[in-house]
Amino acid sequence: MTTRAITIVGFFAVIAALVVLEILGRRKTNNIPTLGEWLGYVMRPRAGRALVLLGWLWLGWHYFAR
Amino acid sequence: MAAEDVTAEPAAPVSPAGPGSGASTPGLLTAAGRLEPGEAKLPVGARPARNAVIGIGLISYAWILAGTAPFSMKALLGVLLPGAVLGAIAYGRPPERIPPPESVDATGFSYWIICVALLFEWEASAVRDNSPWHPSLTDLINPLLAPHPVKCAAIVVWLLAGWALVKR
Repeated sequence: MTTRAITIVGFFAVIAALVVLEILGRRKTNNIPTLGEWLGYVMRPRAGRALVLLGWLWLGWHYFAR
Repeated sequence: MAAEDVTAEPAAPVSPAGPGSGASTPGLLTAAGRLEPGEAKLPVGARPARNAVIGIGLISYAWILAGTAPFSMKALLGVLLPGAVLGAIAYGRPPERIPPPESVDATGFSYWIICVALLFEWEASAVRDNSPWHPSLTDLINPLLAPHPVKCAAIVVWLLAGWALVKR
């Protein structure tokens, strides 16, 4: 397996883990929050809301403007 | 490790008419998207014509933005404009928000933090190497976004995600 393939598998593994966490969070049979729940929690303070919105804006700039 | 709740001070009650308005009747909207006493909130999909216009507008905007040249002023403004609009809505005229949880379980939250940190670490090491043998996530995603319809769809998803964040 090449280094490139290992890198790609690593990305897939982490993204798959994030998807699994979201699925587990939606089942409500455990204490794992969903993405929306913990983002909502992080955005309770005004600074948290601003940081999350800036992160969203950065994603748009990174992938769609450059 | 025992699971502990991460707690915070209770959030101020979300006023559908915006902060400082004094109105606090949840579930009621005015014509401008605000809530008004006595007017029941319509279920999602109850205004198909309005939703269709918004959908067509979003897709048209995404289509135009997807066609702009990378690193151009048009592309930059095309990204900044929705950011400015959503920022103004989020702080000036927030819509009825989904109430955030009072606390999240620390152990459950830590799983998310570990995965996000791993993603950032993997990305950072790829960016540092800057080699085709160790591509960054951007290097992998950019070719996928090259076709115009795919980029347009990705922009629509990005715009909807922004709106979902404003609703949180």
